[in-house]
Amino acid sequence: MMSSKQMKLSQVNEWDVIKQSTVYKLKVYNHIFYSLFIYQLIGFLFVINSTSGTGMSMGSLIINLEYKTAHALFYITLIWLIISSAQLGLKQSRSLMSGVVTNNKTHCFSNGLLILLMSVIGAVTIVLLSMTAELFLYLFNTPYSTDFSINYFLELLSAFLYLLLAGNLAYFITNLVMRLKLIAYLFLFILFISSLIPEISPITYFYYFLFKEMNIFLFIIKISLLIVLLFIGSLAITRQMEVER
Amino acid sequence: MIFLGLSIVITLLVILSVVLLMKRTFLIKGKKSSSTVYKILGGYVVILCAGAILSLILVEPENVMDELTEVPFDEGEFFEYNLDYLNSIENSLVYETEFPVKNVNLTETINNHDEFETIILRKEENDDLVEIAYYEAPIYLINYREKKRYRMPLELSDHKQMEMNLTDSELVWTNHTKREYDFLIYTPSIFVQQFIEQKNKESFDDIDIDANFSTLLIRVPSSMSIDEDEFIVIEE
Repeated sequence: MMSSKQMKLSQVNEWDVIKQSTVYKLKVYNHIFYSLFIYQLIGFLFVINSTSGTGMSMGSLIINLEYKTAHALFYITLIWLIISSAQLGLKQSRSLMSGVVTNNKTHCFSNGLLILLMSVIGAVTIVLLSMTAELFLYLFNTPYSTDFSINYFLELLSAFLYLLLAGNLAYFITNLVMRLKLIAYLFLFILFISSLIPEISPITYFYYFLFKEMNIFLFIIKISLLIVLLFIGSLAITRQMEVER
Repeated sequence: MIFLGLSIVITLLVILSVVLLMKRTFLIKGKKSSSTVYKILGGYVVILCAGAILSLILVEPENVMDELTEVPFDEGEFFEYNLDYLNSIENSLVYETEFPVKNVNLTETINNHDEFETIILRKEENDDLVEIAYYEAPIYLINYREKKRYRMPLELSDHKQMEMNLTDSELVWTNHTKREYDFLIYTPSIFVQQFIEQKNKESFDDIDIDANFSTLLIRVPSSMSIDEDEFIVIEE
């Protein structure tokens, strides 16, 4: 016989669950941000110490141009984001979520939010550290230096979009490898074989599609489209697993 | 090199001290506290912000370029000799020289030599002297990406280091100047260059010697046979 105080299934707002699990993950995965700090300090070391240069001589005039770039900062942050995003896609990451009520969909969305947050922090710190490196070089280097009036907003925007793409790609591949092993290995095998022939390699098309795009607006559209597709792919894989279970 | 070594040592020490500090913090607390990590991250961002603000204040093109002055980039007449422009230049020096011999011919001509491009613009008879205008083509460090150009610190006074000798039949200039300039160029990150290349696909930084001109007036005897647009030999 049922009592008057019956247990009811309360309707949970999905957005609240995503928010809660994202906050929870920020606590659980705090080492990710700790490692960013270490990664970027190493990147900073690369920036200030690596150099390339050219020399020009015109009769009695000798001009030495020494180039320093902030590329290392970007690459090292990219590596950090790829490793961190891949970590989110691991099966073990689900076991860490035992403290929060979640399903595959909200889990995937909260991971997406975390990747978004990591990309923002990564991009902001790249630009800030790049400027700090510039200051460092200005204070400790040759008397004549040039400045190219770097567009910091453009740098921030493109860094953010590239990091977000790399994070989503890493998350998608990890999900694929973890949950659909056969398809993942087939996909990676095809990718590897085709990369041996650059003319037909998807990497070549990807390179021209994205890295050769000079129009910033078209670039934003293209990269956003890729990010959305990768995220939908990750979501589809995790939901697929829910049905299989 | 000293600064390079010093910067490596300082950076390593900073990393080491920060790592040790963090390790100590975590050891005391027993495990990595999330609030501690985010405090460190916050502190890191604050330090970076301070560095970026200082960079914006101190590292300005005017300061960085030091003696170099920015000259407007006008592509239309950039690679052309603009003789009208030459005549209007106020910055000129006049050298007056007495020559022991009267019959002097300029026998050798050049049109592009070293950092100077000298051109005879006019010949004016004044008593026994001919006034010839020589135009020096200053050297510009050009940044095509930003469409900016900077004049190299090469002044007309540098001509003082050029020796003018009269041989049997030639007026010979000897350039004793040896200049060496070092430029440090801090280029933007790789992902920004993708969009900057659009401005000029072919070239980035370059040195242009055919830009504008400054004048140097030299008086030589009227007996010198000089044709307009003839160039004087400069020997190294």
